Amino acid sequence: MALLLIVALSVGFFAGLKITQDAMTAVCDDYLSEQNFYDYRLISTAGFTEEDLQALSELSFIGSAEGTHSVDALVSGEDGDEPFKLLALPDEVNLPSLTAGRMPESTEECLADARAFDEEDIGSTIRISDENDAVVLSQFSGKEFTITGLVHSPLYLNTDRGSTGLGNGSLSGFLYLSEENFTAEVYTEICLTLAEKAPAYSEEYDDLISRYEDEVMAECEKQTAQRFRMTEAFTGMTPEIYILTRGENAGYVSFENDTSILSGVADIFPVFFILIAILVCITTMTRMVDEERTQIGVLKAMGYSRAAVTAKYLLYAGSATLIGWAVGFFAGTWGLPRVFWYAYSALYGFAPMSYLFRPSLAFLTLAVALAGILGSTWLSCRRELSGQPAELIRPRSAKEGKRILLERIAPLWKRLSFLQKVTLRNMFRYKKRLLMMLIGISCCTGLIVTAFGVRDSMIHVGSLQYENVQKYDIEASLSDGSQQEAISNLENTEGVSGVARLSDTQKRVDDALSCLNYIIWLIVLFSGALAFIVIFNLTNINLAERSREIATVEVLGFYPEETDSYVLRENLVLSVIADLIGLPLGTLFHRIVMNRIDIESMSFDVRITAVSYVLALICTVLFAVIINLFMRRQIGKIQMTESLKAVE
Amino acid sequence: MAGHYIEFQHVTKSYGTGNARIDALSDASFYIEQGEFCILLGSSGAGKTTLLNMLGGMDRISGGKIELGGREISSLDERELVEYRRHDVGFVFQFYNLIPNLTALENVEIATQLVDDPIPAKRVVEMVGLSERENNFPAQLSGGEQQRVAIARALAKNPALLLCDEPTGALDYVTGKAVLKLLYDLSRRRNATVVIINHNCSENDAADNPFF
Repeated sequence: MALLLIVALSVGFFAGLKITQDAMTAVCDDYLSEQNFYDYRLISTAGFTEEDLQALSELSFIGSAEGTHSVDALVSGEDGDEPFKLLALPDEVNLPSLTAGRMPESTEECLADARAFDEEDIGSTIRISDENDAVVLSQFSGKEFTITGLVHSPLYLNTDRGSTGLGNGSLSGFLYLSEENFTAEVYTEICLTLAEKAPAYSEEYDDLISRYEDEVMAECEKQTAQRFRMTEAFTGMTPEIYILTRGENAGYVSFENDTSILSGVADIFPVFFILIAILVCITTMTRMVDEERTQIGVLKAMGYSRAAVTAKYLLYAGSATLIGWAVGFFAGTWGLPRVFWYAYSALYGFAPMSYLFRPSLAFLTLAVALAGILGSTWLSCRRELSGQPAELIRPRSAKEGKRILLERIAPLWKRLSFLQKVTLRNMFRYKKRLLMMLIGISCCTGLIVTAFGVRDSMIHVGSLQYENVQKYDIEASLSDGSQQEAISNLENTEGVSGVARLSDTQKRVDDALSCLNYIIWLIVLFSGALAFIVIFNLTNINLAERSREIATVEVLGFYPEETDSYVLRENLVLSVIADLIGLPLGTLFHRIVMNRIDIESMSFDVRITAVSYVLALICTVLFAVIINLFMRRQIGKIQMTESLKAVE
Repeated sequence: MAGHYIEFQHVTKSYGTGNARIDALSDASFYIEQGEFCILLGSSGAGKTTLLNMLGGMDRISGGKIELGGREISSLDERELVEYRRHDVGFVFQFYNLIPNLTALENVEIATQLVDDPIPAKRVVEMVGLSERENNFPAQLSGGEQQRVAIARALAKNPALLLCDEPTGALDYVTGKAVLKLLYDLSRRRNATVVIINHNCSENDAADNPFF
């Protein structure tokens, strides 16, 4: 029944949204710890030796340490040569996770990036291209490798593979080869994990990292000094050591940024859902207790105490709420994260979503739901029960007609047609219901505007951000063709710490936005569902209370369409008015949401296009029209003879 | 016998099926001439209201035939029934059933704007003696006054048939008598055919043709 549905829907959406960001972060954290993602990544211009590795691993606070090789090389494929990052298959840190096939068992076998290859590629051979220059070729002892499996790597949480000096400048993917294939005597990098653990993205984690960073650096420098003291040939060349943390990993950072969109959404939208749901519940409960007036009167007449009667209805409402809550909460917290995770799977999807249960959330939603429902039930009961039994048994006297304010404006009032006057009077007759409809519908329009507005604000980030906002030390525009060369020159220039390609970052933004579209439409759908429920509920109540009036009008000889518009025209008018109110409301909400979405290194142009406003209007009107059609059927069901029965 | 104005021929009306079946009317046959002022009497549950509802086009019969002015009312489709109620029938209920949100005058207007040749609303309201109260809402009128508005509403459409279901049931004796008199006078003037269901025996002297 309706009460159950409303409770379930609003609890589900609220709880689901609130928990999604945490659920996503949890999946990421679990994945990263399972794959033993690094805490520190050390890079040296002179590479690292076994002794360096040994020394570092002996530090007390270090959990595991592993040296690895990584070389960018052109790999031959059907479409020519593409640049790939070839990594040594690790044993301890940054372990890849298998998605298909099996682990390599010999040095001629390799693992391939699941994003760059398909299952059909398992069994095929890749080949280090002859086009590679001699330096690159000399890094490898083997040339051809058979792909035995596809993997995800914790080093690449999203689809960004980074840039390179080779080929078209952008890495197509990664490949894992067994360590024996790398000829270099020194490790390209060393990855360390701490013995102490903290959840990813937490402040705790950041403290942990900064605490030990200096010691690690000191140890490296000590080792380096030792190494180069012994070889005088290296006079004048001091190797540079860089300690990278997770904050320098593109995938790790993007994940946090991309999911932060959810925090903005999760703060605003569910609140309104709950609010509107409570509104509807109040009317429904009031209505239900009202309908049972006669029964209540009889019970009272029979001698039941007020408490006993109230208890009956509280029990009824309470059990409906409990069931609704249970269904909503578990469906929402199970389903919504999954839906969002799926929306993000084009970018991430490195592990399946698992269920996260947060007792505090469960408790909160249950408390609010019960308070709302039981509260309104209790209040309605109190009102009804204050009457005498005899009074209750008689039907409630119809609300008397009254002149509305508008009538005082004589010239205006005279101009209106008869039926227009009726509609206006009807609208203002039930002030409470009028208010609720207005609030409910305008909020929904506002939410839809906000949803579209968020999309508008982010969609232009790409061009605006990088043309107007991002501060570069030097910005250089390249003419076609010279990109790779320019980049490698730049990267090798002293003083240049990083080179980012505009088109790469643009692509990253575009990818994030495709996820967003999914989310936006989901929100629009939910807002629509809410508007639907509000209008449906209130109109139903309207119909029930006026069934006698409607039947009378039918007896008079109103055509069905005339009867329909007699009842429903006020709905349409209200919807349009509420719609218009919803627009500025939505602008306000939008501002609030955008403030909450805080993504590093990006600022948004907070804007809402005219199209969005129009779309939001259309959506709400559409919902109203659909409901009206539905309502016509309900009106048709009103039987004249039944409704007009004399009250004995 | 030549065709009567209103004819009920072996009319039956049942609700429900099998064990739960209620026969509201079984094999009811009678006739009423045009322009008659007719009162239906009978014990509770005899089916009077059902009869009136059928005649008024508000419900369908289960068997038999109803004719009015040569037209077979019982075989009209939905749309035609609405037309019938709109143009040919005026109904007065026991509990007035006025639209609470409209003034007395507007309650009559809502009927007059349905037909092409109504009696002007103000005129009818005057006829029932409520000109001074025409801008009041039903809640501000007494029972008798409300019923008079209802009668005005029914008459304003200028219907051929005026059906009244216990019009004085909610009124005291004196007011009830006045209302019945009003009905009688007005219908004589318009030459409408009037069918009234009544409980109160004492008022039945007015009838040309009391039915039991």
